[in-house]
Amino acid sequence: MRPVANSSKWILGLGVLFLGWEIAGQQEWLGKGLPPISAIVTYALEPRSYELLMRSAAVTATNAIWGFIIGSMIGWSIACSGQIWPALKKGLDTLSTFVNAIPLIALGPLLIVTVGEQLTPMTTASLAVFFTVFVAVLGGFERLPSVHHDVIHTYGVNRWRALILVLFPNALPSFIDGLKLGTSAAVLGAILGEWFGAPAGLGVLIVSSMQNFQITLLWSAAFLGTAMSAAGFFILVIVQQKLLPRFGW
Amino acid sequence: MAADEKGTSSIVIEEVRKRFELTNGQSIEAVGHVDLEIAGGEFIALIGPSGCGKSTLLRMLAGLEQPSHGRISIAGETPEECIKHHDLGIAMQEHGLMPWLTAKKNVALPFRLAGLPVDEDRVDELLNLVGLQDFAEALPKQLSGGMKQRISIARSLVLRPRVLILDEPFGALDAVTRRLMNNELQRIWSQKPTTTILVTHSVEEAIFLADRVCLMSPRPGRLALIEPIELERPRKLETMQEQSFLNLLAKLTAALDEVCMPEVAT
Ligand SMILES: Nc1ncnc2c1ncn2[C@@H]1O[C@H](COP(=O)(O)OP(=O)(O)OP(=O)(O)O)[C@@H](O)[C@H]1O
Ligand SMILES: [Mg+2]
Repeated sequence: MRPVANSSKWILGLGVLFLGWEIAGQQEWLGKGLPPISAIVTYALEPRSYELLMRSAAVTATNAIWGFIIGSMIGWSIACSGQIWPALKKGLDTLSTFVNAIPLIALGPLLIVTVGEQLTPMTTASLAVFFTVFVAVLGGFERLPSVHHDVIHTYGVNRWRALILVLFPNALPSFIDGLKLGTSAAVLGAILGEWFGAPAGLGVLIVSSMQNFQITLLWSAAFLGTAMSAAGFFILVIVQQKLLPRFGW
Repeated sequence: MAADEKGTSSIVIEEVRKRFELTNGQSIEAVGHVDLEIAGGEFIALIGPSGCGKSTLLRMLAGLEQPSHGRISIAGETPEECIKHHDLGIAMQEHGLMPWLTAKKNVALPFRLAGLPVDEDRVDELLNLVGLQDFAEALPKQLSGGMKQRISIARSLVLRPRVLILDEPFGALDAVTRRLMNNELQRIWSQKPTTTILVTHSVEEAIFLADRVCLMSPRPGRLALIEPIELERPRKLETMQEQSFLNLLAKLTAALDEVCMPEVAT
């Protein structure tokens, strides 16, 4: 019964939020910048804007998904490499921290001239994801109790087998936690990458509607971005609930 | 690989000391100076006060720690080389079972870690031996503390090691199960004599199982007394009531009290 109770709480919470928003918008409490939610929905459902929004959302989703996949694979591989080649571990950790510390805003223009505007959103999305996943997997490795290290040591001299049989299964829950955080990072990274001059996407829509003062379009695009992050997050929650018990967690 | 045909291994511990460097620049001496020769197939029980360095000595035997001084050789090899041939079985104070693997898969894990094909019959045989065949598919979280410990012992035996290192493996068991397991361990050991070093806090258990009982003094641990146990084998639970057993028990208990609290005993 818990999930039902939980989802009804969610719905109630969102309902209260939207109701407050609607009233605030109607009364223009926050000026023209916050239109009532009904106006945003009506606008978004008009055929012309609907089509534009969906087209942009599809582009952003594609960028975010690819960025998410590539970024998680990179984060995961870097964390694993450090276990297999301990000599590299320190260097890889430092490099990852360093890359993560460069603001994406600063990288954007550089990426435009290197990988091109088409690939920039995907790249910024991967960059936003990889570190979260890297830290999560590394944390999972490091949380292995010392007796388990002893077991590995006495039965397995092979680092690959130790990684596959013990370290990675042990890190699986925190890997999935990292992926959960990675979903919103991917959407954010993709939108940010699109700002720098990508041909299409929610990021492009946000920039242009900002410049043309199309408040309802701006809000619709922001909504879609949020919905995308939330959807990704919930997909991973389901994966977590279905997958982890199957692996004995 | 014909694991059955593996022989036994003698162990030589020569002038072994262990000093741990602490982060604040200080260091503590965990193991003082230990010299011991263990014959192939011999069963040694190690007793001593808490913190005297018993686990540390075992960890050095298992290649998990390096001695700061001295040498350990197992059948002429270093512990590391011994590990490479999968000749070492360990069960520690903490069971160290993988929470995501079933009991059966935990027992089979050494095969997979060693890159050997899993011998299902051997795994089943060991589950039977520790009386947990009905729990083969249970996850560790579904087992009691004692059951987990038994799985951990089964795991330590699965590769038919030539040297068995047991650190307080029965500590979590109730008295009855413990005696039962003692009996089983003796049976396993006499079926295939394996050089065994068992750390225990129970003097009775030590006498019941061992060929020699070694008593360690408080940290830095040294061997204060080595007592040969010449009770006939197989020892039965009734053996524990015999006068010769009780005499040994009295003697070793007194010796243990004396090393632990010399001012009270004298
Ligand atoms: N990795 C380590 N670093 C620093 N000190 C350690 C380390 N391992 C053990 N020691 C110290 O060495 C001493 C001996 O510890 P050890 O675990 O060998 O004792 P023990 O005889 O097994 O005790 P118990 O019977 O309680 O298990 C203790 O003082 C402990 O604090
Ligand atoms: Mg100990």
